[in-house]
Amino acid sequence: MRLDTSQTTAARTISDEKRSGALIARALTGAWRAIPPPSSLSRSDLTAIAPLAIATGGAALLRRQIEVVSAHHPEELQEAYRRYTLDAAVHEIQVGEIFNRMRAADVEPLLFKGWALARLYPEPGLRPYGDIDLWIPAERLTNAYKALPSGERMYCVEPHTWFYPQFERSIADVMSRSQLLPLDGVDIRVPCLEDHLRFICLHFLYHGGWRPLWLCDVGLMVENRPADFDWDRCLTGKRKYADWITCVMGLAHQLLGADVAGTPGEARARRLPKWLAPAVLRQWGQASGMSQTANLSFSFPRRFMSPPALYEALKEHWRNPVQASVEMDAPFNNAPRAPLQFAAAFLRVPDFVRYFGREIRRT
Amino acid sequence: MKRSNGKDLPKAREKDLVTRQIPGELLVYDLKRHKAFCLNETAAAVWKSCNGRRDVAELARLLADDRQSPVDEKVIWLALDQLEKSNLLRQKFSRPVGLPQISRRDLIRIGVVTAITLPLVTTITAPTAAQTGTPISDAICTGRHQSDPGGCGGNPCSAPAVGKCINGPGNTCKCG
Repeated sequence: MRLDTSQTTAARTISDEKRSGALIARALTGAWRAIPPPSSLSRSDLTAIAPLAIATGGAALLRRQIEVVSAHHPEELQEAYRRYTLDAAVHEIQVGEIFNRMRAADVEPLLFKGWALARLYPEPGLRPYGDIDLWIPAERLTNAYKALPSGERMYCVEPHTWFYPQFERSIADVMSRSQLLPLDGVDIRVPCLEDHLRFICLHFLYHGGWRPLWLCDVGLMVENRPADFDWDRCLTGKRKYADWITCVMGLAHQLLGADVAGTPGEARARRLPKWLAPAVLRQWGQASGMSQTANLSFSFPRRFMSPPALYEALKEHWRNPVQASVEMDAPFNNAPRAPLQFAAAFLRVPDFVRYFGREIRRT
Repeated sequence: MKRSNGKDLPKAREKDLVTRQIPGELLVYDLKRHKAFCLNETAAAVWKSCNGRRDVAELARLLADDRQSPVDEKVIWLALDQLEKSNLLRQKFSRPVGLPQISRRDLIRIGVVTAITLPLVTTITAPTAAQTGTPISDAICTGRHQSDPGGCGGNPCSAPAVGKCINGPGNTCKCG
């Protein structure tokens, strides 16, 4: 069976997007669990949202949900599941090789997201990851680059030397609490669970919450936390940012049925800002998102000649309420988000002018 | 590996391959050629039995024992042809003189009816780990330049754009 992909290409209204986002949320409810809850969606609903799930990395989770309802699932979902499974296998080899190479170059990296999260899922192929994200102390960055091979054996490594300011922890601090996990004979350094949960909640917000998979990660981590999980370690810092994080946990509960009982997210889940869930659902229904928060990376000079393309480019750079709130460092309350969205656009004008000038000179 | 009669016997490649079993299928990734394959149960069973010491008759017998159903040697030839084309065998094996390449359609046409599923090796066309990255929009891709650090990046383009972010005309990048 092949999919009808017209859903992703046709012009879609806001309510269409919210409806699709809501279907995705229902489809992925508890999808990270070893035994996922029976889906309340019909097979046709599940199949209809398959293109969105594929576009946002949730294909294998959706395939598992459909399998509960029917033995036949769209071939595209099966193909994605195959690809994710092989990707995971190849990544595991690469991660080990990269750690060996880095250590030989006197660099101790810290792996976050990717395998560090995927290993927590019931099957390796359920949670895809493309890049291998590493935190590396800034002073070791040159050595780290030298350690990475180029050419045929090039890896998709993204080295990071800083955290979001709202993370409020230094690399040295995160390193001191990190843990070593064995992977085919190599010890892989990953953040402690508390730091990792804090990070993935902030990461979800920074990118406007555009991938449902990221909220599945949050649900998975919260539900599988050990009894001695240190909430103080996870939330210590400015109250505003702790509130952002509890909002993400509350959202995981509200949209994906994550069990947040006994966590700081439990109370917040009952009184989330009214704009938050609709904004995220709409973003999920669009199946596209900004993966670069800071850069003005589209080429206006080339797009001036094509008004539809220019409009699309502008639209893609309009921050959703979640991303605008983060960029404007705003509290997650019930105040309207539109002023923040305008402010976020306005604040990017100087960057845009600089970028535009550079583009004009270059082209 | 050669037999006393001088014929090369099929041997499964092991080096630079990553395999993963999922229900009903064996997935294989070729680290050298960056190609991914999906073997159905029959193809996987034949491939795993190719140890360089078994000829086609033995492979057929082995599969028949395993599946408790007679297996025509042509089924094994079909599997070997596909495995060889996919570079999953270590060496070229000798075919009997006059034995043509066999396709699934041929087997059905000539009436080789079997209780087991015919072997099938398919290519997984989607990009695998070595080529993937964070999905980016068409706007972000076209805003990149080949001369940027990392070039066009090769990230997958998110819907509605398709393909990967690759070199476009001049110094530009495009989804495709």
